[in-house]
Amino acid sequence: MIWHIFQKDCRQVWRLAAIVAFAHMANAALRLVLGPFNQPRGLVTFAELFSVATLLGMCALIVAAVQEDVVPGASQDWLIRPIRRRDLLAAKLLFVVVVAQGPALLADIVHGIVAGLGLGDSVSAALSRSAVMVLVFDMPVLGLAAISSTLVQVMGTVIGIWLAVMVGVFAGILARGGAPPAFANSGIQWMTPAYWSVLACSAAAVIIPLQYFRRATKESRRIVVGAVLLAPVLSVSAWTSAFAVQQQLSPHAPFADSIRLAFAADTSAVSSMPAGTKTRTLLVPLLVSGLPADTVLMNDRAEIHLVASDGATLYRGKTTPTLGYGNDFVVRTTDGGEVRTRQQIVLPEQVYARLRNQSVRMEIDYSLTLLERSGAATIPARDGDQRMAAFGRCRSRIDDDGDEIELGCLRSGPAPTCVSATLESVRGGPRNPTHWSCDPDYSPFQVHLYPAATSRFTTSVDLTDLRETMEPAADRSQLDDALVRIKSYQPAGHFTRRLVVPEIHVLP
Amino acid sequence: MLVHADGLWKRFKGVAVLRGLTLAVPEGSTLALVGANGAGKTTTMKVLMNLLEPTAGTATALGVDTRRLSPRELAQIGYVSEHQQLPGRMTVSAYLDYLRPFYPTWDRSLESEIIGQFRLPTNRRIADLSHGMRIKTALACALPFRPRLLLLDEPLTGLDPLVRDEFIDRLKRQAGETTILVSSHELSEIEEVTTHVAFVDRGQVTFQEGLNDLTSRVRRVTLMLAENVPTPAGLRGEWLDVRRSGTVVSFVDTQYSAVDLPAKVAAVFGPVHRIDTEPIALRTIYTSLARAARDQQEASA
Repeated sequence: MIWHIFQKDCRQVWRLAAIVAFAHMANAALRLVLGPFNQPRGLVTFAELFSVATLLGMCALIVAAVQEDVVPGASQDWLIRPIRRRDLLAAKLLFVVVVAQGPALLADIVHGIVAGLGLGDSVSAALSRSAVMVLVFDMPVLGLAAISSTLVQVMGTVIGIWLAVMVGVFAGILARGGAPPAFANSGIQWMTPAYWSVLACSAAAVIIPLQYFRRATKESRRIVVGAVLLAPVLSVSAWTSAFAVQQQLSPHAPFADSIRLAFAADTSAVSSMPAGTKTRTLLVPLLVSGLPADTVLMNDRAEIHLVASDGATLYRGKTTPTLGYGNDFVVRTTDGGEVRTRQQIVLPEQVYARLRNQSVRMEIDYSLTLLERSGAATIPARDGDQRMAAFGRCRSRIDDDGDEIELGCLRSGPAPTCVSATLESVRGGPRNPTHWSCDPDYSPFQVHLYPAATSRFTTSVDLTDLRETMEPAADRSQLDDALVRIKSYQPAGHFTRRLVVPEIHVLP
Repeated sequence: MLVHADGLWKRFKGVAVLRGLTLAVPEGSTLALVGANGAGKTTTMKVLMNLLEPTAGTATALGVDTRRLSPRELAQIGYVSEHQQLPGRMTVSAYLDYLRPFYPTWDRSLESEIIGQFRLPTNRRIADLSHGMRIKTALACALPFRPRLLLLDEPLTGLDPLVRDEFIDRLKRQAGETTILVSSHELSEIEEVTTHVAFVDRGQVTFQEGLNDLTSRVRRVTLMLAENVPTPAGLRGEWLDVRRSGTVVSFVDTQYSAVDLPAKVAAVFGPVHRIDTEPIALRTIYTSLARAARDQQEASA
């Protein structure tokens, strides 16, 4: 009777199903129009809102199908009919997979193929995305629909859950004195949505059979409340534990063992510079050695402890999680070996005032990630359009200002963590400086969930070297013979290092 | 017995709605479950259909524990309730099409006959139907598979007289073939099809017996007293709804016996000129019993 119930549900909600299926296709068409450069800009906001609306439509469709046979209550007609509960549940699951998720799968495949990603890549990315979506989105929605009687109730529950989770997260931020969660904006921030997804999926896995086989609505609703209470737990967990989990999840990178960090000054003197009116930045010279060739070393976090000679703590802090933009560093090397860099430590002015008159012991605990090259390719600098194994379908063009080569790629699955781009002449000779763009995401799951199975990434290279420290290898007249060499980097290992400098002197 | 409930208890948030209710419905009978609002009739029905789980006690339907009713049993049980939530977005015919395959014994000619009798607009959405039409739809969905057991929970509430007649007429045709358990306030209507009666009061069945036995033992008695003697306090407990006008006294005798009555009357009122007895309708029996129960409850409170 599974098919019979499924057919009934389809007949009942076919209009909404058709609208949602059309929305998936329209979404795919919009993404195709936006292309790898995500333009025209005017369409971007509309496309984003449309994606959200499509997701809500999908949610409404699942709820409508499930609530064709409302589970809570004791007055529903289906309860007195000779309908096997397992048949009813199987029919609802079939509906979710075929009618709710099917069009999304199809739209992803069509989008991938039309975008030039190839059949195999498009199908595998779409299948992966749909499989994960069924688990982390469709099943929780089915679970919520099974404990409610109307769409309004489901919406109210969703809003309630969202508010409760936000209150929990903000309470955590307040408890930390306004600081965001330990790994917000870092490469391991994927853990939060992954944790929430696991929580939602687990709750759904318990609630759905509980509702369909025991109609235990009270217990099911308690499980939802329990899951909501557990949701903010990760946001109060410590960085070290989260990073330890990340280390366990990543493959062991033996070459990371050779990497060392050392204080790189001949003397114990450490310079500083003003940073705003109430802060000052220490510039701690570092020598990073043992780096393999063509790698990127990311400082995910540094826990800093400055201790006076009498053992008193003068300062305890950590670097900002905004990689490369705050008091953090990214080390990039082509040849490997040793690289010099500086650890910036932003201190309050009063701490600095106490430091500068004495010798200080410095202890820094680093959480580091080594990225190794995962792909390399070249594309013509002007109007290039080609498919590249590691990058997907890429295009190049001169930007509207005429001072940059823009490179945009559509790729099956998630975007690479780091991408470097170098403009060079096909005839060899000097190259323009390499442009790097990194968006750390150390998720072990190679699935792109939202808004589609494909991800988009862009980077750009200056046509002229704005710092004028070297002659541009490729100017406009040479662009027809110029190439953009791009490389992608993916995390190869996560590890920790401890740097202890027994004595530093802070220079004014 | 096609239905048997033994010591059923059901509590909602600590409030006991059923308090050890015991009931037996003989096969082939039509048993009217009679009682005031809140007496526990609907809860009993829902327990029997496994829509609610009893807090204590057991119930069986078709010989199976109601908590374990499987599709096999449900395919032989029809249920109609005034609170039943039919799928409002479906048309009547779409719903019948949907239900048909679930019942191996579905009789399409009977379905057509019922639809014709009820004049059901099969192409309209159930949500757009009037209350009466919805109840008729529910019955049209409960009868074509020729159920062995039919549970009707206040099916006549809110129906206009014409619809009631159609409904009762359909039940009459079904009676005998199907064992029916019906709860209703419309006792005058269902009396025609009722063979047994169970009186429910505060979550318990206070008595259950065949309708013929009941109407035989419950009679309205009218006395013409020989003398205008005062009505003594503490009349016999089985005499209910006592009314007096001069030397004329009337009451409902719930333990009527043509042989014993003259002696009982004489013992209370002395000599009487005349004793008239008449059978009374189920509705009057119910109201007399209900009123007596309520008075007793108020007195004890």
